[in-house]
Amino acid sequence: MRWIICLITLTVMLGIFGCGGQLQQLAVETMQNAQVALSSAEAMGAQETAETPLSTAQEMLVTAEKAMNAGDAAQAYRLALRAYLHARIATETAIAVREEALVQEAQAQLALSEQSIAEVSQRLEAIKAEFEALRDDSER
Amino acid sequence: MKFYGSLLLCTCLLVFGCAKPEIDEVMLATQFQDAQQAINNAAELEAESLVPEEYGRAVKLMNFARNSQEKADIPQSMEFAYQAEWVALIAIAKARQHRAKQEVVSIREQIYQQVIRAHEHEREIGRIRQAITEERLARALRAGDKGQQQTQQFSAEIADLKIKLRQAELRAPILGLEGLVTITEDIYPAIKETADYERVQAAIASITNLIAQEAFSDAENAITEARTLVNDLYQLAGRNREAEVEAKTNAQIAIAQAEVIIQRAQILNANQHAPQQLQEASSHLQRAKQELDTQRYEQAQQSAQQAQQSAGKAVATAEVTEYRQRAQQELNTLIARARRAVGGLGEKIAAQAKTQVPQLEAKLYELANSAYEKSQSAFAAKEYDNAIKAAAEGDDYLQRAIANARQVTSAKSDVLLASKQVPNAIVTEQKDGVLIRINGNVFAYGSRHIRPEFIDTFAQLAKVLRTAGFSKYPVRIEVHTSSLGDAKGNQRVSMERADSIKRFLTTDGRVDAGRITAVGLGETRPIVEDGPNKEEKNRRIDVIIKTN
Repeated sequence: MRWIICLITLTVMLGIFGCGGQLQQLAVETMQNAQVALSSAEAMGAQETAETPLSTAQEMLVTAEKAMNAGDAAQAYRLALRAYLHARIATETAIAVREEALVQEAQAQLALSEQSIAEVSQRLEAIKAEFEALRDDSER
Repeated sequence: MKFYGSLLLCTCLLVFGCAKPEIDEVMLATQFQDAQQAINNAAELEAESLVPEEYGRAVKLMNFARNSQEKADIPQSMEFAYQAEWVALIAIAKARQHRAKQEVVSIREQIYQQVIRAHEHEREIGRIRQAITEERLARALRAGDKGQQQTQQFSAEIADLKIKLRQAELRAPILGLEGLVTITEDIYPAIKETADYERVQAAIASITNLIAQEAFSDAENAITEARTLVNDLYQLAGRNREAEVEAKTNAQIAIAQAEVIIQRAQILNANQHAPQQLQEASSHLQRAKQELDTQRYEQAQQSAQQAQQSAGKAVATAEVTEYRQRAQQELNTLIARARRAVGGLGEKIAAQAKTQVPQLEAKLYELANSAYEKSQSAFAAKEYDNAIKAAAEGDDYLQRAIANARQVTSAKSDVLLASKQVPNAIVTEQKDGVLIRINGNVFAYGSRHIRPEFIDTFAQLAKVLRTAGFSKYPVRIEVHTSSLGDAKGNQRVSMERADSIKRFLTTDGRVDAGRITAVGLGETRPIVEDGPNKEEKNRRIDVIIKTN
């Protein structure tokens, strides 16, 4: 949700400051946002679980910085926006992987629980059989 | 020829001009497929209902891409298609998160159901065990041969079993509640430190005691109250978990933002221009990281915000100083450039002053001097850009003057060399050209016809004038007479002789008539006033080839 608001803000800012030095300012801010998104992705452990989008985002940010130093603010903005989106992909993928690990953990607990109920059911069947045998015996 | 040239150009344009758009269109089509595939994958994961914002955005970007394609704006269409694919990938990741969360909840519910089922089985086991005991008692009574002691024993057993069964019945919901508490602990481990958790644990302990004391009615009431407490605890854990995740994310974002600002401050040399503020920012950041590690997220966020403020001040201070320094450096560089340009031009002009350039290309040389003065004035007025510009202009004038002078000098040398082939002539260099002087009796006394022995002289002269390198130079023919005879007659005959020479050069010599000016100057310009052979020396024909 936060990143969507951020993206919309960037787009609106592009609309408002769509030229000259203001474009340069926008490019700088987009690069900063991309840097923040990259840090968030790293904090979520994207190095292990979403290496490709993370490294792509890092490379694009470096290229954006080069374009900025070369004075091409429009290109720097485009690349920074791409870096930002890739960093978001890395973050969300890392969170997804973490949630899926919790699913596996829960499945293991479920298996243990099933084992436990099987054992109780077995005891129930045994005592039922004992009861039936007792009744058969008394009828005779 | 021009037609074939144009045809070749058109062919090249068709072949090479059309190739690029085709490649772009192929790439665009591939990107469209990738983006659409990503959107389809997101739809398969039910992203439309789970994460409607991201999914809707991806679809919207795809529509923008198609609109741009229709308007033949391929680069913009490509950009939208890329963004559509990436946003769809984000939607896929978020949909995976939602599905995983739902699956975890579903599995936990299954576990919970199984725990309840297990306790139901336990209760069933208890009931059957009681039935077995009763059956055995009945058999004992039927047999009638058992003693009173055995009957009492069975009765006691039955009573005991009834109590145990009741206890088991009441323990079943307790186990259910304990299972839910365990799930709550999984969701939010820190719930154990809350007063609500303590209350739940106390309530469960109290129920257990009541069951053990066989206060079954009180236990039932306590179970109802405990169920409410456990449900509240479960909901509280969920809320706390969400709040914790949000606080952690906010802290991480604040720290990342602080790091970015500190990095910017470092790039602006804030360690020199604002060391104290930068140090403060670093300390706050360090503290924020420690607080994040110890799960004090709100404090971490506050420390990170303090770091941002300090770093922001450092950036503001460093920016002003750094930019001032950079501006000063740029100004120094500009001054040095201007000084080199003006000084260099002055040296070059001085170096050319002793050469032929000022004479041969006086106008350009003067313009160069004027530009030099202008550049000096601009430099003195600290208008360094203007000084550089004026110096460049002056340098341009000077270079052109030098080049032109070289060309003239070279042309003059060539004409001099070629003219030495003309027989009966003395060739000398002049300021603006070459003088070919033909002495002797070219014409018989009073005649305007060239004497046969001089025909070769003028034929050679015509050959020189027709030479490719000199064929554009203007030529002036001056015919001079001696002072013998009357002046008017001399003037007239010299004019006729000049015309005669011009006619020979243009008809027999095939020299362009437009280049030749022929004048008869009579006896008006003698070169020798006294002495022997004075008249013969003054009687002469001067042919001047103007090389500049």
